[in-house]
Amino acid sequence: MLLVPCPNCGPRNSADLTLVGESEPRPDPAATTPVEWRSYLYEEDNPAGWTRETWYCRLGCGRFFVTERHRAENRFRNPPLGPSGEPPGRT
Amino acid sequence: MSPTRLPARPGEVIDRDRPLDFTWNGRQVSGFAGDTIVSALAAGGCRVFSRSMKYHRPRGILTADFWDPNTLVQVGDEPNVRGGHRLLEAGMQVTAQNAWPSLRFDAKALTALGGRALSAGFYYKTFMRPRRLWPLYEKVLARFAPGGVIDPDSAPRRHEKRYAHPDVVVAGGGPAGLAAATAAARAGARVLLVEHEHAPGGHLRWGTKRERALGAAVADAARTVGVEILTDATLVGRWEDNWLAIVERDGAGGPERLVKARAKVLVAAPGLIERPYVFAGNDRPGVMLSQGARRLLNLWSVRPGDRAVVWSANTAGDAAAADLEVAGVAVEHVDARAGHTVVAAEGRRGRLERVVLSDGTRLEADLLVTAAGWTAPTSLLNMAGVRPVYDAAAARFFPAPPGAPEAGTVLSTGGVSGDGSLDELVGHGEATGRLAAARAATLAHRLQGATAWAAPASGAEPPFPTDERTPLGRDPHPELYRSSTDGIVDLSEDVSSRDLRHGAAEGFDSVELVKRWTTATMGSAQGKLETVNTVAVLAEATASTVAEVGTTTWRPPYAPVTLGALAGRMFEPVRVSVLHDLHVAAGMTPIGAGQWIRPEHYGDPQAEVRNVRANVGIIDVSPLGKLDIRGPDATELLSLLYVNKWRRLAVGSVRYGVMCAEDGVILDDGVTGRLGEDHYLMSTTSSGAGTMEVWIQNWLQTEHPDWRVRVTPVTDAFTSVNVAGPRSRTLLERLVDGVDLDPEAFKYMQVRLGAVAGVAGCVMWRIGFTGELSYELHVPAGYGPHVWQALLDAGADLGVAPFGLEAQRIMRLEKGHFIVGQDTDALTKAPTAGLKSLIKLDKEDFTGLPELRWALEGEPGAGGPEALPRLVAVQPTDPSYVPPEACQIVATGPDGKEQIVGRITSSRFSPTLERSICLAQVEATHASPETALTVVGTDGRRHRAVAMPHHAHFDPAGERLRG
Amino acid sequence: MPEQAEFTGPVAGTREVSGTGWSLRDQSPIPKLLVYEDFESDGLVRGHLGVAFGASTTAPDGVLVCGVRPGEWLLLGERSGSVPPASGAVTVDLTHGLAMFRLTGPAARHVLAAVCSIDIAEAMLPNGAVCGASVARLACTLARDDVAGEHSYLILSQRSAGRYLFEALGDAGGSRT
Repeated sequence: MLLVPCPNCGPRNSADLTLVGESEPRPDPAATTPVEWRSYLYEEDNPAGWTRETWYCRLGCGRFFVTERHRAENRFRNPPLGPSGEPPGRT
Repeated sequence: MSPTRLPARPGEVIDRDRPLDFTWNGRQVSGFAGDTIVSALAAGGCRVFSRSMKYHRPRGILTADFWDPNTLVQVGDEPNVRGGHRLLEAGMQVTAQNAWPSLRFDAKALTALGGRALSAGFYYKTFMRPRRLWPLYEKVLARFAPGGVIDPDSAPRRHEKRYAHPDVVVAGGGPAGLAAATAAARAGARVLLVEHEHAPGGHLRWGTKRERALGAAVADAARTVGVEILTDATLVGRWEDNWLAIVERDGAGGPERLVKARAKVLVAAPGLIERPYVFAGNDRPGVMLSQGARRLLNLWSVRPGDRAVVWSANTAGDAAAADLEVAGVAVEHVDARAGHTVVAAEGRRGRLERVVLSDGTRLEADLLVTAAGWTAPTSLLNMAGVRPVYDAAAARFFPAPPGAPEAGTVLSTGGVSGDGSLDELVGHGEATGRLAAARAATLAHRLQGATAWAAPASGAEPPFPTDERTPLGRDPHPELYRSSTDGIVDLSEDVSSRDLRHGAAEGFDSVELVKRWTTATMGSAQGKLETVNTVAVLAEATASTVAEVGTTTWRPPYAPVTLGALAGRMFEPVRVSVLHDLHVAAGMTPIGAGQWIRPEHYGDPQAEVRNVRANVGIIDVSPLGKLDIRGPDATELLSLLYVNKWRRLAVGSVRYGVMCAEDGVILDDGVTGRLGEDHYLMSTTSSGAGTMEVWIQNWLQTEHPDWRVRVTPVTDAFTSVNVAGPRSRTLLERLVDGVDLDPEAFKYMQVRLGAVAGVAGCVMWRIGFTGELSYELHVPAGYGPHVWQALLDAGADLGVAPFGLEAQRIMRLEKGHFIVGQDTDALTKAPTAGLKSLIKLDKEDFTGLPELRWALEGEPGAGGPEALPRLVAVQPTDPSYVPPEACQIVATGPDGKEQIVGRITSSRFSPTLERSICLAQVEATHASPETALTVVGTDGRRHRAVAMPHHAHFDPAGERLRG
Repeated sequence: MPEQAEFTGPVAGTREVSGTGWSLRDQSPIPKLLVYEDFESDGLVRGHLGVAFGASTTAPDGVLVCGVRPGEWLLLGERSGSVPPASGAVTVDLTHGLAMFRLTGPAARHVLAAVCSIDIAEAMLPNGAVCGASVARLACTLARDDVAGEHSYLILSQRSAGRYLFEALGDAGGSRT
């Protein structure tokens, strides 16, 4: 089982977290088009390389965070970032 | 059967003072403590242990260890026990598997007469057509299938699971593994050593006096420095970041335990596995590997034969010859290094009588010991991405040089890495252990630094040390795989070298293909004995080399695992209300709802409904999700989450709301009450409570981290009780303090805070899921039983009685309230459920807004709301017919053919209306009131039904709940 | 009015079990207050309570202050002086919402480690440490809170799963004895 680097809890079993998906900004609901919105809803790039992902540390700190993972090699690139992409700070 | 146990010998592992009686195929036999099933039987003179899988040929001992392919036995009700490994226990009832009617006379051996008929692919080709006969084929073939007998009535066994977080795990307790473990522990690492056998020491245990002494010394050293040694344990798999599965058995007859270990560094030290040689008659009882013969002799003092031919290509074979001579066996030593080869083992009725050599020599013998070379079980390394590479000069595969991403945390030592003297192997093990410990220390330092609660790591991070070990050498070894004759390559699957050649000729000419076609390497030995021979035979058949063919991919498990070890112990949290014991005492029929155990009813759900409609009932709705929402931006949050509006909800009021996901599909619904200016209590469905908590946190943390609002799950903080029925107000008036219950003061859809039965801090909602006048009480959970009992006591004269989930479901269906997930599914958008007026498209934002706008206002190129199905109430014409849920609704289409236009989502018999009632999702074209519908029953019969004007079958105006 | 209500805990029957080297006690009636960081001034509550996420401290009034999540604290015990500044700091009483057990004894770590998915070795979970972890596949808060030099853990979960957790821990301990 993969270890996922939570910015607060350190590396944790992936079963302790939830992979939310690729991090993608939410289109403006007032101005979006069906094509753009459904791409946001359903489409993932899923590259055989690095991608930005949002994880939820379900059994640890309860925080959402963004990190980068190499989807072919299952490696993470540190450091993980806070929910808005900022570097993590320990509260 | 003549006994072959020798007088006591130094180094033997049996305790002759503890004889153990057991039965073999119903006959009384005995052995000693320390014996395996096979060694005890062999000591009694047993030579044939099974019949082979396809040809039903008699089979005997080959390796006398875990991998022994033909000594799987049934012990009592436990099938497929590895007789070469399982320790003997008194009273064991051991029977042979795969022999009918008996080992001596096997009726199925007749199939051997047809020999070729059962060549590889026989089943695939023969039983393919006609397909309709397969059930018959299956029945007949099942009688011929190998394996033991599963007794469905056998008593459940205890299985265990635990976690472990060692710094270093060493797989293999031979000299190198033990040395690595000891060195790592001395360097300060927490070390777990996993040893397959019943004692550490590896091949030293059946070696010379000096080897045994050294083995004992390295094992003692490991124990002394605190290495945790698991024996009778197998590391069955390695996954990302050294996540390891270890299956251990707690002593003879003890439970199996699955250890889920996260190691910082894994040291693979599995040693080498001796490889059989392929020749005519190589599966005849009496043909044994050198390790098998030495184990029988030196561990259990069993003389494996009287007259032996030892065909040896290495020192292990030479040692076996020497050991046999010491034990008084007449030995003919044939040296493979001088070019002599075995071509056939001949005999009759499962007995070896003579060995034929390549020069035509025929040697009388009842034992043929072969020492043809070694297989490196590189599986654990391969699971870490290390590729096996063939070295023809050493005649075996080696792990490729490090370079895989994770190679830095996976090391190997011992025979799998190379050859050397014992001192060299131990030295390499020690260096590996030191390296493992140093790398683990770096990782531990990082881990402590990255984890908020860990002790601060002291000093700077130690460097991740480079590998400066002196590599082990590689001894030259002749390449010996197959003789000039054909023999069995895979003894567990009964695959011969001829089968493999046929497979290649039919086009299955890659090792992965021929493996699947012939099933070679797929039996109980999982390739440990037969993979390299398979590769070699295929190389020969395709005129290539072993290196070119390469090996099959080693995947977990390293060794077969019982289903019990994996699934026998499940941790599944169970949740119960604080009222659970009261429900049990009241005779509830329980029902599982997600993790919760809830009362489905207390005997008669129909009577429970009638009592609520006539008097008053109470139901435990504690699993209802509850979230405490506080802060200046709480209203903003509600507006985002729900499709409807919240800004003008007055303090003291509650409102029903629906939440949609971003695709417009209904996610959850419930009632939220405004307790204060910046304070709400939100309820969610019981099944959606956990999901909604995460859903809301996601919005707050990732989209609106600036909002000043805190959301706290308080589901379990309250015991929630719904008091429903025309007499509910009368009942509450007797128990409630500090709240005016007058219908004008406490109206429908309002919330009050007060005391119930002397318990302060209760939240009371006046709502009506059941359609009756009802109050939902949220009581501080610890006082739940007190309040529940008070309600029953105070309302005895009012006819108060508890009701369960089923009665509630009937009443909500009478009222036409839908249940998310029951009447809606993963495609049900909010307009389908009749929520059009609830959806406020003029709000700036809420989840699912764009999809709902397109659904309601129409989307260019797609349909408007008319394209969506609708949720409607349906009543069958026959009031006694209750269509099962999920029944289809059909109609005649424009082409005259019947087509599906909907389905029943909920159905019950209503005791209030004394008729069947339903909710259904139907196409908009069939949703208008009074539309005649056809419901297809489970038996295929058509039933007439009609769409109703309102969702509510009962009291559509809602007069009762507003009363 | 009925007589004074009695607090019902999550565990049925006996509220204490033990085995070789460990004991497990139900301490669910102890008051538990969840405190959030102030909306306006970051660090105000943390400064007042004195610990960050991952750590705990005992306040002068004896209350155990645990940093259970970033910006969230759980105050365990009868409070008399450790209430945080009122302005902006949201507090929620979870006394009734959480089950709380104390696992104590020289074998306590072995018992907990068997069913806990994270490493609780001395360096990873020293005395005073607080973390979230899965115990027997249940989301729990762990607080290492040694008593008189003896290993001791407070284990908190959703109240409704408390009975399951109590049994799972007792079972894990039994398998070691």
